[in-house]
Amino acid sequence: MTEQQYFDQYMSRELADSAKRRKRFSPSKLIIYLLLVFWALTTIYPFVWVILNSFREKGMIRKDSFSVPWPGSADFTMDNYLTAFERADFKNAYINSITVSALVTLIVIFLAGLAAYGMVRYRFHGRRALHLMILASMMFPVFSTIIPVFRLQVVMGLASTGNRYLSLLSVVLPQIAGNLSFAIIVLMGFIRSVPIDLEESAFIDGAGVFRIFSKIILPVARPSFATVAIFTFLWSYNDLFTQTFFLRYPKEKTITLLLNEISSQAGVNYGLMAASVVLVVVPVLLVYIVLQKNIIKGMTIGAVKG
Amino acid sequence: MKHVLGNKKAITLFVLPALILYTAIVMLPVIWSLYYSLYSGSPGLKWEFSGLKNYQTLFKDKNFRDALVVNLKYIAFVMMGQVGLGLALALLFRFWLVRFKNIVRTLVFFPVVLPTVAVGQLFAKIYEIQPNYGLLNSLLDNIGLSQFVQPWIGQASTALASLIVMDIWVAMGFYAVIFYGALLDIPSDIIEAARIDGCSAWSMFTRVLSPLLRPVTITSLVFSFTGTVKMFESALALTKGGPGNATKSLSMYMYNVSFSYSKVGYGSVIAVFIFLLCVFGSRIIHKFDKQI
Repeated sequence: MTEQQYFDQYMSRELADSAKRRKRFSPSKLIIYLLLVFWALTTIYPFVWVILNSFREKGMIRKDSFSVPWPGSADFTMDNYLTAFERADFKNAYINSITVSALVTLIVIFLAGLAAYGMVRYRFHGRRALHLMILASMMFPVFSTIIPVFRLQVVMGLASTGNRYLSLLSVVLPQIAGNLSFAIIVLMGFIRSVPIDLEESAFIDGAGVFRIFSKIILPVARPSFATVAIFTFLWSYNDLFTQTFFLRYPKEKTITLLLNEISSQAGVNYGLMAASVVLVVVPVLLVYIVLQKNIIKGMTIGAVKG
Repeated sequence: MKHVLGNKKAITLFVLPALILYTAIVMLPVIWSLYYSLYSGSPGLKWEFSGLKNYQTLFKDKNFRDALVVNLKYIAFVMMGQVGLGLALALLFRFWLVRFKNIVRTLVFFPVVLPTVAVGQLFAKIYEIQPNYGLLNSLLDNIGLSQFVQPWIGQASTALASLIVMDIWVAMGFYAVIFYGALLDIPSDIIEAARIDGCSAWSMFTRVLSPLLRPVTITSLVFSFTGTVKMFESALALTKGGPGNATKSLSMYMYNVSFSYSKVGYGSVIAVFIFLLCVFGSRIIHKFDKQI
């Protein structure tokens, strides 16, 4: 059965279920809806609040941070955004962030796809040990190995050279190692759930291992790959620690680093803070809104099932 | 199929690239840390061989013990909160929620994708007391509970709890979606059959759903453990480890020791300890997971 058919089956099952239940309506349901609405508000409200405040003068935020600064009213200002762009090189930072995260994502899904397939479908010595290592290294915080990794990269001539591209590359390597485990585990979970029959018949028809991998596994596992890719991209974009450690020159700064810097410099300038938070969150928000169906679909269909 | 399953060339090509990367960036540094842990000072700065002295210091170090306690509390509460509430939400989506299911799911999942620094800034504003009340304190003030208005992240007694609430809020949507996927996998026939047999909601959960959800629960616990044992960024973004040492985790302490106090040798001992904690944790989880 293909991925789409699985999904359709779930959906129809679910629709039939909810049709049965739609007839009843009880007070307990009302309470649950109220709770959910309240809770949904708590996830949205902070953002609305930050976005509103990013368009106000800092003095106004202190006085009354809950009124709405309508465009055109005396309260409304773009100054915070202008200051943010003036003080920091956002364009450069966006380029840096996207370069790093895109590279990390591509390499991670490539390596993790191969490794997950090898781990699930083949039997070899040290497989269990390797699996344990993947689990352990997923838990192992990046920062506890960062000093040796840093020195290793200095020896290799990657880190602290002052060259922008080498520095970006020096962030990419530890980030790959940090995200690879999650990717392998998620993809292993999915590949395990794919029936082996298809591959067997392809093998009998004379297809080689890589043909099987690229023509059968890759298409079937596309939603899982998409999920892994999205998470890797976002985690890499959001990862402050590695970036702080390896990127020290202004031209190498990424978006998250800029926000952290501004937040320690801005002090009580909440307007500037709010504007920077908005500038950092906007790309993430766009990725999420465009891809959220894929994320949730990929995760719901066996992607993350160990 | 046997020939294929034992194909050495294929195995090498599939697994080797990832293995090389792991060895270079994870395993080698761990061994390197072990070696560093036998030295005092920092490379290039009073860097002398000191044997096992760092390990002896570790057991007497009160700051280390405090960080360990903070970290363990954090792991316990955040794991329970994330996985427990995630499961509760998934049950809601599956069995109660009829309308707006997609909207609610999208909203619940939203915090998962946000940068930690941004979340930290948001919650700092929510918990704020000065110069004016943040969201939480003004809410308490407005509904007549002004005696509870307090500097949530500014005092040692509530800082860790505030941080824990934030991290549960961030990640519960992630677990809700994982559990929801698993609940959709359970055939409706089983649930219907149990219903017809007069199964109450509680025994439905404990007798029918829980056993079926076991594998996914273990996966969730693994993810949650791996996330919480690393406790670093969210604490840095919200409280910077303070006030005092109230939210200082093991990795933060390690970072301070290595970089602020320039004792890379001693920092490496803490790194080794964290590594052992991770191996121990993964062994325990491994025990529960027969599938591997």
